[in-house]
Amino acid sequence: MLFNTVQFFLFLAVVLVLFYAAPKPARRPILLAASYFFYMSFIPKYVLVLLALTGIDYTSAIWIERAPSHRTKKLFLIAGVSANLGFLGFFKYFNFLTGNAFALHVVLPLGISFHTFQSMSYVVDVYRGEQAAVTNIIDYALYIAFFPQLVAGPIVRARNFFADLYKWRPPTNAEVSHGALLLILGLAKKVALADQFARIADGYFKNVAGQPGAVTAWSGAFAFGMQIYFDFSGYTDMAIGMAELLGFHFPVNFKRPYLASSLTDFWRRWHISLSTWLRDYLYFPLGANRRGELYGCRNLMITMLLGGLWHGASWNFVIWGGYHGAVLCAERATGLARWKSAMFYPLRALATFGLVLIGWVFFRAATLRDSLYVIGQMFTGRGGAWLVPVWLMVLIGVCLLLAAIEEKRQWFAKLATGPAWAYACAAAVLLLCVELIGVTDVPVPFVYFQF
Amino acid sequence: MRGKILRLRTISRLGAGILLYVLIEAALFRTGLYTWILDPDSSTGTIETLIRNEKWRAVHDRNQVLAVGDSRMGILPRLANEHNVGYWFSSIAIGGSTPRCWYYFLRDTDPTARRYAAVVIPVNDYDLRDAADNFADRLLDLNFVIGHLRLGDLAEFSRSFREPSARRTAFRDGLIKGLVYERDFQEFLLHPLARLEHVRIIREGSAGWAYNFVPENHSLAGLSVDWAARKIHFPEGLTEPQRDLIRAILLQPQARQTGASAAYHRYWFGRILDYYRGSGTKLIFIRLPRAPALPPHLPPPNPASPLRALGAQPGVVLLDEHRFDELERPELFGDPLHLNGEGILRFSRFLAEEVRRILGPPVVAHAF
Repeated sequence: MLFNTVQFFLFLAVVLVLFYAAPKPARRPILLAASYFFYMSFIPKYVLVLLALTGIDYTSAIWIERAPSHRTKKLFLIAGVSANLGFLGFFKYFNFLTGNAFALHVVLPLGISFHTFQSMSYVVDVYRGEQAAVTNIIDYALYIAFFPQLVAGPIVRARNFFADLYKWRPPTNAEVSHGALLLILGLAKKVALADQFARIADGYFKNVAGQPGAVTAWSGAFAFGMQIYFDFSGYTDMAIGMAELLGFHFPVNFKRPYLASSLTDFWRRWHISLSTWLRDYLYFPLGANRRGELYGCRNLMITMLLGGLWHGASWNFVIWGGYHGAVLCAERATGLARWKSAMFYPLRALATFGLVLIGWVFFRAATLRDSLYVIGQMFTGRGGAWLVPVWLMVLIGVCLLLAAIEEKRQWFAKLATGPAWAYACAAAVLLLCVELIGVTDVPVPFVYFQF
Repeated sequence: MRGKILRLRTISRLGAGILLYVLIEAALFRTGLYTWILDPDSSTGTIETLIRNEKWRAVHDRNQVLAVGDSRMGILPRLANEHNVGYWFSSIAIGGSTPRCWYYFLRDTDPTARRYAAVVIPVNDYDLRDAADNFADRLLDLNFVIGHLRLGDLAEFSRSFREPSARRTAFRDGLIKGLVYERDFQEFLLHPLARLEHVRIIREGSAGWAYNFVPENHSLAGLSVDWAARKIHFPEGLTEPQRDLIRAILLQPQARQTGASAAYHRYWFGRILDYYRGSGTKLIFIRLPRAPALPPHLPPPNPASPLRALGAQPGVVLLDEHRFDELERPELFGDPLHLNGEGILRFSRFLAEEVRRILGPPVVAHAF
């Protein structure tokens, strides 16, 4: 039941009606049942993995909190984190590590990368004393399985989620307006933009050698860059919008990343819930840059390599992570990371975008060989054709303009409380985009569902 | 109380957005506005052009005969009219359309149900046997009828599909018409100026070009079939795909008979009959020339066929089903399904004569 299907919207409507019609004590069980129903609509048997991890982390956290000594707490922490990493490792990396040497072919349970990270952060927070262990199993299970963020994030921190849950209040009018518009905006981003670019990117990356040329290679990478941004941010917008309609508040996951002036800035704007997770639970525990810049770069490289590997078990993701780590280190070394001046901003933003596109080639190409071929074509290829049609480029120009204004004025948030006619026009235009320029014949899965 | 009022305001903002969207959608796709940019070469564009040209054609009397049908409906109005039987023939037959589409085409082409003296409706056989094609679940019909579906048609139209998934799609696309026009709109965005120019040219010239169309005259002369051995002797010069097509058509095994085709046709022919009931327009059913070669032993006629029962109703005529048998010869077919130029010429003339015979002398103009 993908977010971009009629079935999902019917499901959401039923959940909203049941949730608000039910007496307060019944609301959490309703959300939990709906979340499991949603998850089981993909591959039902993997709900067992979700239940097992929920049980393990719930118990680990309680034991950590009640453990009499620091040493015992640590043992329970290691047990809890190991269980999560064990599940993640087995399902995600078994085929990769064994090189498919075994007859067993493990299918990845949907969203395991996200909910294991969410579980781990909870267990670690309890260990650090930053979060009280949750004693109500329904509450904890809901934290892990809450359907708007279950399969592709954003990775929600326990303290934020439980603050919403325990001090739940009905969403305000502004929140309902904002949530509904975000839902439509996310859908439009997904079906009208991401899926259009997906056609172009898929066509190019399916047979890169058959389409030589620098212009072709750059446009293929550009198409994928647009696809993944609109796909993932569209999904996130829908998730945040749905949560808002239910009275929950998810963190912002994207802040116009392609307007970044450096790669360091890019990572402050792209998949923020993952980058801050990696920072808080990996980079800081590794020591950050407390022992100097070189040591900091080492930790940054480790963090980015593991961040790359988190996306999937392939050398392409490792290289993608390593590439980003290397550029981030270079920016630190040259001081570019701290350059706040507006001087040459368009040039810096363009250069950053180019660097990001190079990274996306490794992220998207089917094999390392294909990646290297595309990179080679980008820099040494001759001619070629720009694969993106003019109308899509015009649309991207409009999006860029809107993003630039949003950067300064935050017009989208104001739209929710602004004049009714402006809100209505925005909603109508977005719905028309879904209808007329969307790819609706066959729902295209979200890119991050595979992680 | 204040909270409730505020909530109502929020819902009304959302409602206004949806309402605005519905209004724009309706203005685009339910008023004919979109046909100004619709690709005239697409299935949807072709039928819209045909129907528009037919509606715009000046009519001074009721001696008009309209043909519907798919690509096998071999009438060329010019050839029939040149035969001077006193009736003016026109056609909105289009390849790939089905009786379900014809009902909606007729309703919009002839909104008063009084424009035509007769409507000619072709069938493959009067027994309405099941064939390989499952018309009932043919979602392609949406592409043909989308410009003619009204909100009031949604329930009937979607219910006429048998598969639940097809029903859902038919309902959804009939309601949100842009989903059907979506591909056309995206192609328009690729070359908008070229499209507008193409639409203009087609608008100005299509009626004349279609009327003066001259069909090709290549034939399957020399084709013969050894039915016992199931072997086909092909004429010279056919490509392998053409031979494969002939084999597939002529030697196809008979489909399992479930009665689905009969039920489907009974329903949609019944709807056409209901539309014209009491209007004075005759519905003339004809059996098309079937193939360039036919097996010696065909299933016996089914006297209980719903079409034969329909033929007994007032205003309905079933033309002698063997009237066009003499056209079932390789020399008169261009491929295993379609008549060639000579076949079309003879078919058009035969049909014109039969219509004249059925309708009698044309009515004088002042009666209209």
